[in-house]
Amino acid sequence: MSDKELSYKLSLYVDGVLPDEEARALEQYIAKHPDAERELRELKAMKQLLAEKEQLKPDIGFWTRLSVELDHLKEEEHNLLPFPKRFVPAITALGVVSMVAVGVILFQEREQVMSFLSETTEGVQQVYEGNFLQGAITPLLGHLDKDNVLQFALFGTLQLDEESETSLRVDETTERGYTIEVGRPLKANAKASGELERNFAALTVEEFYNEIKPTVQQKEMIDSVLRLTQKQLVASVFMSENEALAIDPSLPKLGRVTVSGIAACLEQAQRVKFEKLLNAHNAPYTVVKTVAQSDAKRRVEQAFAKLQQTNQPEQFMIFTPDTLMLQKLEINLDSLRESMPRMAQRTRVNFERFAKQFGRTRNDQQVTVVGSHPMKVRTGDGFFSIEVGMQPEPPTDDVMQIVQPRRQRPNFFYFEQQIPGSNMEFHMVDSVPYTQERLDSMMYMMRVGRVKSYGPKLDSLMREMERKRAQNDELREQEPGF
Amino acid sequence: MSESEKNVRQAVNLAGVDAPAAFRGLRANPESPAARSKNGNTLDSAFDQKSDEVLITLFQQGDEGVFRILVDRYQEKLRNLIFSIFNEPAIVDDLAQEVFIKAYEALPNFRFQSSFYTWLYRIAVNRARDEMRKRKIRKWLPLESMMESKDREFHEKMTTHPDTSGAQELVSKGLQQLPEKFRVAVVLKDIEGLSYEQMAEVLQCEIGTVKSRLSRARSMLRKVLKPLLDEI
Repeated sequence: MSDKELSYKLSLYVDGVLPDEEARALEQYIAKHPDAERELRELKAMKQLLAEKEQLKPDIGFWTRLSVELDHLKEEEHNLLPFPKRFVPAITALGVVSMVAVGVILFQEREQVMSFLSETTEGVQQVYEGNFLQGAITPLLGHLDKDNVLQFALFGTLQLDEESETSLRVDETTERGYTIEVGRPLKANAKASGELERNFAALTVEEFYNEIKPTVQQKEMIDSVLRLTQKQLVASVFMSENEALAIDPSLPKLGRVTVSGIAACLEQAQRVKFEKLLNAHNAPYTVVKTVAQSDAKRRVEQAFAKLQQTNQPEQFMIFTPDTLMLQKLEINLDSLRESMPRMAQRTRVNFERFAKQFGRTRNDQQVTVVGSHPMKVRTGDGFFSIEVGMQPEPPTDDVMQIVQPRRQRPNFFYFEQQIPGSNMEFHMVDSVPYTQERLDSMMYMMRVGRVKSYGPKLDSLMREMERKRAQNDELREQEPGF
Repeated sequence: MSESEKNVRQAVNLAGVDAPAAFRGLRANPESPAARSKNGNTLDSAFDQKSDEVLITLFQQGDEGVFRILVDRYQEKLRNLIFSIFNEPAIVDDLAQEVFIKAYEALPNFRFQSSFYTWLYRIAVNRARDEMRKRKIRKWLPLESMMESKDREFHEKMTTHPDTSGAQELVSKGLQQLPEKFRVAVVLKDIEGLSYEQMAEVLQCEIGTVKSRLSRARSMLRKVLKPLLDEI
């Protein structure tokens, strides 16, 4: 018998579970083998020792501690389940049955479901594709100083990029809505015409102060007005990496608010000087000279309150080379401030290409309804103009009534057009000749080039003007909004 | 419902115990017998003498108060089982509590296919195994090397202190030298006194496996305790 077999049988033997016959055979074996007998003896002793092993005393506090734990357990169960635990199987079964039922219904209505999913997918795709602002977004007006802000307030003009001489110009006209123009200012023409030159003479804050002669307190207030305007301007115009331009639709109104704020800070006599200054510079606004002096303080407070409404606009007008739309944008200005120093160079490069592309693809006569606003786009070489048909509510604030829009608008932008069949060119110094009023105010500047006699050519030019006038009359009848 | 479960439920009815009426809401009704046994010191002998199966049936019918009787009945055995496996009094209570909590959670699904006693032991052994794995109690060394070298203190005690109390300590320590599955087998058989069939239920293996495992475990332990056994 091997040691292993012997140990196995001895183990069963001491437990009394070895069959009788095997037990007797084992006993005979043990009698003849002292080692086996010793192992049996040791096994019995060991079994005895283990059986007598010291036991723990009963713990009378065991149940108390256990019941506390059980109570905690019950509380947790109650907190987790909104129904008794015994309902879990029933509720699970109910859930499974409901899911199966929904599955069956979906299967039966699969055509409609697939159709719905397809439409949804297309919608999502459209939204994705409609995300016209892509890549990094740069604020275009992060570089403005006080002089720039004053220039904007008085003339609605903002230089987007000094080097490339690209400007944004806004014009609020209560009759028809407002206009946003982007292009080059007419410096070349200004040199050729003394009358026009007056329009483009920049007015610095220092010059303004010299003219108006405000007190120290008034200066501080006007500086505050300009700072608040500057803050709003920064959050108004952005360009994205894919060369889409986003402009706050309410931007044209900001100029009037600022001028009103400045005017509210002035005394009666100073307002007269201010009006003269505006008139001399052919600014789009005129200051009402006679207002009750007693309300001055309230007007100043109103002006500041308006300018402090720095809530970001919900929607921006988005311009891409082939799209014009209103889109909701959420822009984190704080994160953009870091990129402002690098903005100027980027803007110059991107904007020139943008303006060219936009000019190529837009149809001048096309009216686009964006949101609830009809918009008309006109493009020329290096500029484009968007006229937004909007009937703004008349201002109810006292402060806004100090300043009224001036009918005649200054001429800042130009385009050149070659007359077909001639070597003569003319410069039209108004960009939006849509209406009779605009046509009446248009200024044409003839420039004789290499031709010696321009009589017949002039007739041709006048015919072209008449044709345009007729076109615009027709257009106005079709679209009274303009 | 299994046959054994039917029998138990029948036994409950024959005993004249209207379980739902008498025992439901033990905690809510302080006048119920089971509640008195909990709140006072006078354990109701009628309930104390009920079989495990009857008590479990009552528990499953909603009388959670009878769980205390089951705990009182087995807490001492369970605590000693854990103590024998680990030989550490400090962890006995925590582990025993965990075992009873697991039993409390699982008792509604008890199907009477084994006795409550072996079922409870199975939970305890499984929990002990988890604990041992967690604590990496695998310090079992080859017997020869242990006898030769590192545990000299143990060896000296084995040879020089064969008195009874010292012997008990040495047996406990010798038991700790065994690998987990052999140690549990020895504890269940020689300390707890389970039958081979009960051991098979607790360890969830065949009876033949239990026999061979126990034989090997005893051989190992005999070698470990040889100096002590020689003295005896």
